[in-house]
Amino acid sequence: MGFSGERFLNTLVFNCGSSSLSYKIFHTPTGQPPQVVVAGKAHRVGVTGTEPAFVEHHAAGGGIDTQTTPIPDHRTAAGLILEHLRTVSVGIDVVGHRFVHGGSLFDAPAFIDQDTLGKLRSCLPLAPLHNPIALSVIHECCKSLPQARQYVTFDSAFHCTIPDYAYTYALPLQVVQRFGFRKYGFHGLSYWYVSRQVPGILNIPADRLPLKIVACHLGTGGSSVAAIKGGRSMDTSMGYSPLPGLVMGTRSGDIDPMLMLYLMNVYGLRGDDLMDLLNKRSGLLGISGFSSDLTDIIARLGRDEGEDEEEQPQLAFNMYIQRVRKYVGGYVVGLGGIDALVFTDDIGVHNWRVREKVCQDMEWSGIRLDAQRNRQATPDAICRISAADSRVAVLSVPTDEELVICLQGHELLVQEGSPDAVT
Amino acid sequence: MLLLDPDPPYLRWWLSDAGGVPAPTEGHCLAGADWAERVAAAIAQPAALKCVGYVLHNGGEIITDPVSRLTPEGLDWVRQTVKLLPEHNDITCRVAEEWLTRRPDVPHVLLCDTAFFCSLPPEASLYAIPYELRRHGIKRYGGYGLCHQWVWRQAVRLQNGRAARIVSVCLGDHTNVAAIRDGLPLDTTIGFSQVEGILSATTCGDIDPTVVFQMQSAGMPLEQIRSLLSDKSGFTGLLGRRAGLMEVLNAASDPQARLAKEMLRYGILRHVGACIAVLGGVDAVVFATPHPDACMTFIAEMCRALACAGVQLRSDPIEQEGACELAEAASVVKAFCLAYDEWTVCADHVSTFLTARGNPQ
Repeated sequence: MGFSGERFLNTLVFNCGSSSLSYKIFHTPTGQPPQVVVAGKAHRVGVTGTEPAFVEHHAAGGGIDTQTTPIPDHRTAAGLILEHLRTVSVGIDVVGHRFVHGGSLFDAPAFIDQDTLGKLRSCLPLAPLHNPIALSVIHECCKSLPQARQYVTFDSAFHCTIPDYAYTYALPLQVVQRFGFRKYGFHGLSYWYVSRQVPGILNIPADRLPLKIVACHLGTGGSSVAAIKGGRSMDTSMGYSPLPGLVMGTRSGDIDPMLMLYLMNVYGLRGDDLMDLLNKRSGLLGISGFSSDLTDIIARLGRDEGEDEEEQPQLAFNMYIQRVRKYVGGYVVGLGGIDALVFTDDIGVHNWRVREKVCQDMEWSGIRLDAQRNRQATPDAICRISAADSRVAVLSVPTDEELVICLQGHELLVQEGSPDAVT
Repeated sequence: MLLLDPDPPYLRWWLSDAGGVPAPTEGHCLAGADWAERVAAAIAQPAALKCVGYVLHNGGEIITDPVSRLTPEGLDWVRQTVKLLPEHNDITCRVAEEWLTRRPDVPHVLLCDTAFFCSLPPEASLYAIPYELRRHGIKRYGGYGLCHQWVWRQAVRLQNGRAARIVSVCLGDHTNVAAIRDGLPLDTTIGFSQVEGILSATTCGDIDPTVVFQMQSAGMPLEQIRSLLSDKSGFTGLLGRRAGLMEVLNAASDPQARLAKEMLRYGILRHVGACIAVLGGVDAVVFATPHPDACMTFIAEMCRALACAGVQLRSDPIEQEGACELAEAASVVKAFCLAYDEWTVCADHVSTFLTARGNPQ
């Protein structure tokens, strides 16, 4: 909006973590890329402990403002943030929210109205830890910022293009219908962003389109791989829930479903204890025996090996790499060959060793890394790390979920033909 | 040669040559008191019997040799496996006991279907779960080891002794894939149970384990979930009626059958790709199936999709000695289709084993 002759749009973006709430305000003058003017985060939201909860606000000029106060829930956190933004007089035109799981009701971002709110409510059970807190933040914004347009984006929506042969679970039809079992997939905001960056970086001749990409979103918590063709998701490693697929920090990734029954039958484990075990005590933590953090595990590679069966950093690292390689190989064949392999998110852009191991002996698929470039890649910029003669471009691409939420909102405005659109 | 394979409640048997008839004969009888007589009655010339082979379907971590000489003392080890797969393994034990007593004059050979995958490396055999569970034998056991080991041997033969890295696809009512390097398995699709991996006639294959939890929370009894995942899913679940590989490959007009076929094709390709990545590249992809003619179009379709991995499909497959060569002479990666018959494969294992030990057939 702004003044005539100097049109711009201020977008407030909220991103809920399980015990935190991040926000960013993007200032976007017409025809220019969005710039962050204020950002901040509420910490220890809803956490009862000895350490106090607090909100920090970072202004573009570098000033930091910290406010220590009890924050019982995410809605309170959102209220505190909106109050701060009023005191520093930052105007807000639109507000973007992130919803982890939109089920089969949402295949694209949506403006918030009564219809959308009703559908969001019916998605709550799909992600019981994430969806309800996101909805509470939306309610707070509707109350405190009635003049601003609000929209919601979904981690699952990018994967709505996955074909039936890849999303169907081969269970009896009546069970599938009763429970809504199918592959949904996650990290969609990140894949959406990455798949839009790649065509500009590669100089792919038009006759080789649609572009085929395998993207590895390797985060410190959750990780997944996606097969993308012409900007559309064709498959991904997570499923109905974010549990299956890669070996993650504390999540097991793929396991035999019959193991669930065996553990409940033979060990008498309760269903929810078992889910807790597979989601919070497995993965890198479960194998290594000491840490869910790949950096810790890498720091201890080659030590303690074979001496202590309960602490196995080398095994944890090998299993992590092997699982990524299997998904990359599977999707290369599933897509019938690829043009680009992309690494993104924390581990993806920070860890050259992971990229090196994943790409080792993958010449069969056309992937050849340049060892030097890979080690020198910087985490804050897009880096091409493949060898000059590699058939497949290998890229390290930093992702920015808040920016994606902002950009998806701008696209919504354009689609709507809104006069506020800034592109 | 006499081969005995448990198939509860039956015992299935096979004779390489019943005497007088120059072709193999097979049959089955209820596993019960008079079974030895019933099998013996089929042997026209008992004096000509040269050896007896037994199939053990699950040897766990106890029987780790795919093929081994069975002695009365060794039978004690086999008895310890009964708890792993009670119905099947009990029949194997009892029938072996009878024939060891009946014919102490001939060699007895034990064939174990899980043993080949005992040497899976830990990256492939372990699940990413806490040590307290891993140390209780919760791991990937694999399956169809006798088939994959035979496929490996055929691949070496077909490539004149060279077959360093192969992907073996056992295509049937329970399709599964294995990565093999220098005769040793590096990975496979079947896991702790037969359910994990590619969908089959009745099993669901890879699904999100959270699904099991959701069904259990909704009050479904564990036994009902078990039978749902292993007996009522796969092709049968998708089509809503009992269905095997042939129904799925043939029923083009049924949209659910089309979906099942697409899922099978995609599942195989994805796992073949995963296996190639584990091997770091591949020298040959080998399909083994009991229905080579009926599956040929389907297999050719998959080979075409494997062009990205270096398979160059030829338009005129070459038939040679029970194998069909599918790739061009210049193809970087070879592709073969083998006619697979369970009994012939077992007989081949027994002969190869005895020949190597100076007991030629």
